[in-house]
Amino acid sequence: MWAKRLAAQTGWAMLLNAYALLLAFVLIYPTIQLLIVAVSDDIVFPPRYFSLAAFEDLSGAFWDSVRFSLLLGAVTTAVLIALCLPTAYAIERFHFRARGFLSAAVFIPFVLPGLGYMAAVGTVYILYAPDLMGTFFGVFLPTALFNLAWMVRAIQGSLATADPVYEEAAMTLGASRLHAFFSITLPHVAPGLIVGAMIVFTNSATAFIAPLFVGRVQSLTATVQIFREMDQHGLTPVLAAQSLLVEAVVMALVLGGYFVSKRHFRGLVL
Amino acid sequence: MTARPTMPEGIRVDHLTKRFGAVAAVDDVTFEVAGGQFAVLLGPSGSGKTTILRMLAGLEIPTSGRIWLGDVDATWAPAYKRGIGYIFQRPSMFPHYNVFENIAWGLKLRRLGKAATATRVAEMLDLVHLTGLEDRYVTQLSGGQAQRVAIARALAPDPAMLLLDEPLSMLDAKLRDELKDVIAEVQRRTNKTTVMVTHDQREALSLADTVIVLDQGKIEQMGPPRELYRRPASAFVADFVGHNNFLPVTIVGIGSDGRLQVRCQGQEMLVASSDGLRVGDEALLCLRPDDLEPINPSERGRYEQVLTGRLDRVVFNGDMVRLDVDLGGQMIRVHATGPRRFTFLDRQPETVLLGVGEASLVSQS
Repeated sequence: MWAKRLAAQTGWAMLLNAYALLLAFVLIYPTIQLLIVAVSDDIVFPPRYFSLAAFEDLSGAFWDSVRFSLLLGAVTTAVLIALCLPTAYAIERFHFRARGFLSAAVFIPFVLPGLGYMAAVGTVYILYAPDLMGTFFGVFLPTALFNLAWMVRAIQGSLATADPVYEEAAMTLGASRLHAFFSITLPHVAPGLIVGAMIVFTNSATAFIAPLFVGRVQSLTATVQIFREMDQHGLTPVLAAQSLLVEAVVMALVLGGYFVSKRHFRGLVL
Repeated sequence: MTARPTMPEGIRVDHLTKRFGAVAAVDDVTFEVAGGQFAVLLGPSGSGKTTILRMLAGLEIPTSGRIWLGDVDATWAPAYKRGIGYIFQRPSMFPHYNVFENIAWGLKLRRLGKAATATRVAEMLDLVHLTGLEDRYVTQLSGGQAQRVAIARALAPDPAMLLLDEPLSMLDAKLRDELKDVIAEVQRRTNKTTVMVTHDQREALSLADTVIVLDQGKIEQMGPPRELYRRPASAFVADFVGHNNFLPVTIVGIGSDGRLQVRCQGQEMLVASSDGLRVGDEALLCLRPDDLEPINPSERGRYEQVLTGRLDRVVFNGDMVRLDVDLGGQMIRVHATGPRRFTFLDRQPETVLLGVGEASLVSQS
């Protein structure tokens, strides 16, 4: 069966298959290596001894940073959905003079070099709002700004394909504009919204530059916490275990959210 | 669904204007549609007909003027408070709901009970001949079926009036005819005041009680289809509604019966008088290809007026044969129908007599 299928394939198809497998391997291999290190008792390859000791040795500071990361991810995602939905709607459906400017402006934090932009935000904090340094809001604000473009563009893409005729039909059937939006347009925007939310949650829960600049001990994401530990002690199996856990938790939440939304917006989300 | 008086409410549009920047899409339009009447807004692209309909629905805000729905000044009322049913040109069936849920959507907003909703949806499906397709989604329906769902959905909440924006234009010819009959039947059975937009003069003539012809945002003429067809008020209407031959003529006198005597390519004719035309004026004589009949010399007596021309070309169109006739240097078209049409197919260029049924005059400006 296998041999038959293989023989039926042309040389080009085989080359493309090989490319796909190679690319997947290159992308996934570092994580596999990290897993191997996390369950070893030191960093050598091939590992000499397997041990789960690294997972038993997770500090309170690490769990604090995980809690902070998830909170940052959740709040950033929720706030950006609330903010970007009307922003994308305005850009896509209304005609006003500053429309093109608004559409481009959301990209400013995205296209400027991250370090430069964070240095600028840090300067503003020091000059006008030094109390924001090290607070949740202080870290949240630049994280949200960095992710604004992702969310606006993801929603905009879906809105562009949702014909306004459905919303108008709903209004002529007796629905207010707001009701028409939530019951008719929103389900159409759901695919973009969900993709945007997945990207923003992942980006903000694992945010690095913003908490590195304006975070303090109590306001560090797990990513920064791990980076600092690694900076002091080098890579250890404990840090590998922590990195893996962060990846697993974020991925589980993102995929969980995806499957729940998929069930909710049946037929509209792939 | 609130109880309303049995007399359907009419629509009144008073000096309505809509500007998009410097362009007046609708320019000082006034008309009235009596309760239960079927009015058609007819005009070419860009004539402002859809903009008028969208203003009636509350989907577009007028720049100036007033809209009365029944006794209510609805000029500024939002769409959802107008109690109208609107059928769009583009497919508008909600894709994430099936046929039943689509038709029930407006009823749900009015908090109609489950049983009453089911009864009403069944009634509507019966009205548009779609019973049995309740569970289908838009991807499982033909274009015509989806448009019928849109009609049923618009009618389900029992709107006071029905507005249709070129509902047939996206369908192929056969479906168009089918759905045209459905629309006529629905309007007759529900007796709802209806305004439909179309650029297709056949649709307008066959469906409407009143046709309102628009050009460049202004009303060119309005009236019953027959009047519009037989007595066009301008060269634009004469040309846009049906086919027409236009011949420059001079009015040379007034006949004993009050009709105007015109000289046309060296031949004289009597034509019903038209507003504002006097002896000595130059005008355009409108002769519809269907109102001219090629006849034998022995049949002259059947027509009061007969024109003489020279047959130039014969084109076979199946149910009709088109004759191009040279009338003193001016080429006109004549449509020969019925079994006799085949006798023209092999004719050589020769003199032909044309019995004139109807003719009308419009001023040249």
